[in-house]
Parts: sequence; C-alpha cells; structure tokens
Amino acid sequence: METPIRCQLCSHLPGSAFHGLKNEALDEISQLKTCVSFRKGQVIMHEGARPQGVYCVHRGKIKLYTLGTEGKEQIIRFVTKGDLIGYRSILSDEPISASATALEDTHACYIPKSSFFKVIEDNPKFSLNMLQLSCHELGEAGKMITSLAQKSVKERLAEILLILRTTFGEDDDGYLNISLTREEIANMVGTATESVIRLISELRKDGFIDSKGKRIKVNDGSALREIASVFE
Amino acid sequence: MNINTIKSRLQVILPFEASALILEEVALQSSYIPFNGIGEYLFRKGDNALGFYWVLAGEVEVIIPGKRSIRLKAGDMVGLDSFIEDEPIPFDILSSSSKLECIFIDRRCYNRMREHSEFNRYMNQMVMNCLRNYRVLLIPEEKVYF
Repeated sequence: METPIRCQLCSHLPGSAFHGLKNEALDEISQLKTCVSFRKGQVIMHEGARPQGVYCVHRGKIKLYTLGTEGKEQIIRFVTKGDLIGYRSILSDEPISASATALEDTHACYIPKSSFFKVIEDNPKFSLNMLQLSCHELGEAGKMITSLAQKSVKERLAEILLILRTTFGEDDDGYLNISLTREEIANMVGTATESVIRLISELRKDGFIDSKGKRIKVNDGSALREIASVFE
Repeated sequence: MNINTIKSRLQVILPFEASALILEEVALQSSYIPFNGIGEYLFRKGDNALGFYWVLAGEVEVIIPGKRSIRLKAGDMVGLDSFIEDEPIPFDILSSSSKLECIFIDRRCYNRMREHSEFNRYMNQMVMNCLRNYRVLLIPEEKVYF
C-alpha cells in the first residue's frame, strides 16, 4: 500500500493534524510532499540531529525513544498511521529530542521544513491543530513523568498494556496489534527485561492476559485498569 | 532515500571496498537528512553532540568567529570531534551548498562501525582530518603547506 498522491484521498486524514484543512491547502501539501518508505528496523530520525522536515505516517508503526548514557533505550511512545513526527523540533528550532525507528515496514509522507512553515502561515486551522497536538503531547509527557516517578513496575506494565491496546487495537484473535520484544516492553516501562518477563508471567497466571511468543492478549481490561490505578 | 541508494552513495565516498553487510547496517542505523538551501543549521553552537553528520553530497561550512571558516565536503564527518570528546559543538555549522545530503550517525551506529577494522581505520583518519583542519587555522595563511 503506497501513500496516496493527494492528501484528500488519504484514509488517515480525519485523524491527522491536517484534518479540517480546505481542499486548496491539501492540494498545496500534496504538491510539496514526497512519499518515503522505511524498512523494519530502519532509523528515521536521531536524537540530537536537526530535522529538515516532518513525517506524516501513512502505514506502519514507529517507536520514539531516547538513549541513556549506557545505551539503554527508554521508549517514550509509539507512533502510527496519521501521526506526525519531527514537528516539535522544527517549531522550537532545537535538535530532535527522541530517536524514531520503524518497528515494521513503514510508509510516510515527508514535508520539507520550508513547506511545513508555509502551510502553517497560510492556514490558521492547521496552526490550531499543531497547537492542540503540542499541548496534547505535553500533557502525555507529564503523565509519563508522574507514572515513572510514582507507580510501581507492575502498575506501569499494566498501564502500558492498556495504552498499547488503545493505540494499536487488537487483531482477529484478540491479540494486541503490535509485536514487541520483552526488551522493548521493558524499555517502555523503564525497568529490566527480567522484571517484565516475571510480571507478564504473573499477569498470565492470574488470567488477566495471555501471551504467545511476542504476542499479548488482554483478557481482563478492568483488572489491568485496577492494577494500573487508572480510573478513567 | 531508500537503503540501497544510501548504500551505493556510501560506497562512492569510502576509499575502500566495504562489505555489503556493514554498508547495510550503517544505512539502516543512520538517518538520512536532506538540506535544502544555503545557511541551514546542521548544528548550532552549544548543541549536544549526540551524533555527527556524514556528508554524502554537497558542502558544509564551520563558522569560526575571527578566523577563516572550514569547508567540508562529501565524505567528511561533521561534529565528529565534539562527539568523540562528548563536548558541546563549539561553532555554528551550516550548509553552504543549495543541496546537501547527510546521514546522521549516533553512538550506537558509531560503535557498530568501529567493530569493523576497515571502518575503524577510516574513522581514525577522519579524526586526524578534524585535527588538521583546526591546525591550519592556527598557522598564518602564508605558512600553510601540505
């Protein structure tokens, strides 16, 4: 599945930062963008570099992470279809704060920096969308800091399994629609791989989840919500 | 830019025949960044050198106040000295050609490259180039000889 040449034809438009833009604006973006693809495991952006454009993901899943002093990954969040990456760094004129790697073969639209700014200047609706997106991410970052600081590893694992279910959904067999290694889950929770293996095994014994290789199924969402102390 | 194109571009700038495996690794582990226009910042003075740029095509200028600027071209590595020293970038570094293509190498990719003896030798040569560039700036212009 290639990226559509015209943004109007993109099935992810309603959920993207470009929703609500007039046809002329979408035509303009369609002309300025280029379609790019990344292989599974390919790095898209590196922490510390200065990006020259933003990527709007059309297909695939991407992890955003920072590397600690000893090279250990801390996964910040996952990005999927309709999401935009690289914009924060461009808007703030700062180096990228998190690296991005494709977790599966990924297709995206690349919008160069100058074109991105032109779309912002010409379209107040897009500026508002970007503002909302930035505020949302700020809120999510705040939640993550609180979670890392105050929650136990088991609470965080339960929360992350729920987040993964909300973000990626489930396949026909009810398994999470994303395949992560135990190490990647540990990097998201912010703990050692061994701890995650032990806790996944505990949750499975309790019947709250099922797992088959890298695949995980949430059997009891309310039990996980209770463990995670999530009451929304 | 797809992986195969990055691999072939790398082979063009390398002075040795690199194995397909290591080229593939570098292409996958680095990120491709195209710069459009002169004067785009690769690094601003004070940026943390969490990685360095490897120029595939085009030119880069290191702006050193009160001195001649240093020009870097395809094959050169930008910010390598600060990256190795783990120190902030000391000067503004900008694109000086209308089209500039680079890949960005972070510590993880750098460490993998260093595991290959040919790359290791090449990287040492690149570090020496950085030193040579700065040394030239310390000597009055009329006394520079190569």
